[in-house]
Amino acid sequence: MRNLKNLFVLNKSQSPQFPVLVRHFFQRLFQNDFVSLEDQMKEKTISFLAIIAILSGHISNAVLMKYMFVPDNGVSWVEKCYFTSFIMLLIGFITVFEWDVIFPDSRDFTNLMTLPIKLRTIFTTKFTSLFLFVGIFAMGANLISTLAFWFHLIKWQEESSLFFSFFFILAHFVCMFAACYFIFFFSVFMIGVLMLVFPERIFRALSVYFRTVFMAVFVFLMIYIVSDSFTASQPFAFLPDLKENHSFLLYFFPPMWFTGLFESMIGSHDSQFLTLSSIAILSLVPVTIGFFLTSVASYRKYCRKMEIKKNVNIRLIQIKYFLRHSFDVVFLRNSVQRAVFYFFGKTLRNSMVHKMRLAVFAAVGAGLGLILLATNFRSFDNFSELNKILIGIPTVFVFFLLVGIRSVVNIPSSLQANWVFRLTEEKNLNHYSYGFRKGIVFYLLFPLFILVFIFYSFSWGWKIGILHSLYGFVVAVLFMEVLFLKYQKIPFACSYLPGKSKAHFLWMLYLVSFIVYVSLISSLELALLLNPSAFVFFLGISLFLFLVLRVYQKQVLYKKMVLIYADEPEPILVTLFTYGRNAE
Amino acid sequence: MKTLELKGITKKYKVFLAVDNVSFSVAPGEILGYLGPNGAGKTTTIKILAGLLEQTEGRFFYQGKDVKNDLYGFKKKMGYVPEQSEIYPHLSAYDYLLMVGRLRRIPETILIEKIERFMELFSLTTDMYSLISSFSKGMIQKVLISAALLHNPEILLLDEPLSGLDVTTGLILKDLIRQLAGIGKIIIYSSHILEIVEKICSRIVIIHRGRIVADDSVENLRNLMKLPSLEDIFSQLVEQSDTEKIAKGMVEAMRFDV
Repeated sequence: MRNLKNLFVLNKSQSPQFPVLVRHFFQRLFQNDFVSLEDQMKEKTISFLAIIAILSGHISNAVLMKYMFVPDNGVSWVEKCYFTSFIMLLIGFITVFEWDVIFPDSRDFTNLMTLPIKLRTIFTTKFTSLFLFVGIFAMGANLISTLAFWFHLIKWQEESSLFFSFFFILAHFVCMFAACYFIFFFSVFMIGVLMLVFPERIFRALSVYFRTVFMAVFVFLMIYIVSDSFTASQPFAFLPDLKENHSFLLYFFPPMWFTGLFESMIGSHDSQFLTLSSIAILSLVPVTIGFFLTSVASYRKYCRKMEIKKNVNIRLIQIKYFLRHSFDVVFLRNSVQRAVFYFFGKTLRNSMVHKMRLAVFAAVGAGLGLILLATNFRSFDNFSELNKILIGIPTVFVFFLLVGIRSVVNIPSSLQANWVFRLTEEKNLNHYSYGFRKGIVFYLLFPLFILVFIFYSFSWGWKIGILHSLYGFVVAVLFMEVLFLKYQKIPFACSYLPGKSKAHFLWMLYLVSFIVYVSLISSLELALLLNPSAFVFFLGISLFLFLVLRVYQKQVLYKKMVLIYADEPEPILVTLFTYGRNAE
Repeated sequence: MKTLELKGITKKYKVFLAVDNVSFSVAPGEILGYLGPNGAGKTTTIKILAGLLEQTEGRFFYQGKDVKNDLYGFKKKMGYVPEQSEIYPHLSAYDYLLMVGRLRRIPETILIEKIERFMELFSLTTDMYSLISSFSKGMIQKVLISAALLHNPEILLLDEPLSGLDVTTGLILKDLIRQLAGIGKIIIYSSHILEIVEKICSRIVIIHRGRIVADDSVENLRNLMKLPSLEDIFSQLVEQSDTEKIAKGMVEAMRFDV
């Protein structure tokens, strides 16, 4: 990052606005929902770049390995296209992740519009910062893979001089950068279009769902492609046939455009590649223009509108509150539970930071669900017969959703405002805990399993639909109870220490738990669905377990616990407990 | 007697003594003006009383009992208006007050009635369903004052409560404080706006660099120090620098190199 600072420093005679603004916008791209501190930002960015460099390097190496032994008779373009697809998906995912900070927001305008800066300067600097952003990720993703391509393929080229080697590397990098640039600005353009098509309030409300869906699709495609590199002998086996038959479909597949560009740059005279390379170059123009147009239009639509106060429909709100009070009378009789329940729900609904973090977990869950579906799909008849894979999809999703909630509630919302909880605190943890859990059940699990019921009723009939959603719901509630057994915080009201979760070390344990959990739960459910009368026993045992957990919590755990408002940092030195009170 | 009494309250940070051996007591019906320049230790003392910070040394008592032994009980009797607008911006004013009232276990029907009345009195009826993030500083202050009064507290800790309020609301709040004292509430009013403190407080405690430098009524302080106003007393006690000289320096700094 220090070098980047130097990059933007121009000599004194030049206007300082441009570099200052580029740096400002560039840094804001990294200060996203997941990081806020500068040190944290650097650490996370470097780790992420390292991960994608290694991952993409490994994938390119895996698919090109065969060229160690088999000559490349002009067929390696399939692997090039495969790798380009992966890189484009990766950058697409990052773009959706950065969705909120791509366009200048109201804070930018409030701060910048009072200064003597031209609007044109703002948009140009924003564009430059995005260009650098794409560049950094393109660099990260191609750092090792460029060498892998060169290492495996250069020996089969007609020319193998040092100059050609250098040109080969350059061509690879240029094409990959162009592909990244295209997908990034295309995604930005699409976001801009959505912002313009939908009214402001609707877009803001739907934004997180759009992002979740996009991220789920990207996760699904990426996992699909990555797993292809391990399992299939020839990834993207459908492509050679399309090319052979001069299929027009080839021209609608963007990774092929940049593959064509690569092939043309390294000397191919294939007419199809030449056409594809022209499309690749031309495609960069409309996405750039699209970015500027949507930036200007979204600025006009949103940032100026923000000054106008929204009209609130009091009558509607009063009806809403009346319904809410009716709900409270039935489900939330304790006032502390009510307070925590609505605080949880409102924060999750209104705080973009928390929504997005949860959305990432949900997207991974949905992406894996899609993978399960796709890898086991034979025909549409699959949907009408009971099978473990279809059964397991909600379990996978719920696992990630609840783990996501566990992670999200640890991140505080306006920490300095938590004095209100500290001032009104009660000794008894029960009601804080119950209010929070009821929040998870009513805001997330209940709506989710209604959807599950609707979907599975269509496939398997309403009786199985009910049993399946009931089973999923019960298991989800039990899993939630276990996951939050020792949780002694008010959600969103405790300070957060990033890195304390030790996810770096425990990921393998999580993975194994996940596989075992999903496999066991799905197998048990399949057995129960085949013998529905056994459901009574299942419900009885679940209820018993639920009560045991609650009694243990109330009678044992909560008597020793107090509410925590500040997370304790990890000790600087972790000892082997050979002294002090742990020595005995 | 329902007196609030502080004895030797001290708050030490690693290399900084924020509050040094502060002792005073406040009786019901009394409005104690807690004065001091920025960084004197006013907010730290108030936060210790609110239970948000723990003192390094000293104790405080309410109704003769050590508050440490029943902090939960003390908090139930206390209302607090913080100095900064520390409030959840993603909630509406109505939702925020509902949450505070519920946490204080105020019965639902009474709570809703109270919220609506407070919002009406503070002219926030039409805005109470909007998110607090869209509120001005004054509107947020009104919500915080309402939240502090919802449960009819016996003790009120007000840390710069007039901050951001318009003139009319400021006047309402001053009258409100007087009326609350009239019905026997204990009020600690922390501020650095001398004119207001002079007008509404029955007693003044001036704190400077963490230590109490004066504790008496305004009248007694005037007579004792033979100075005409609280401003003069304050200036003398806290050794304010030559304000005119500082202002001149600022003008010079502003015009530098232009």
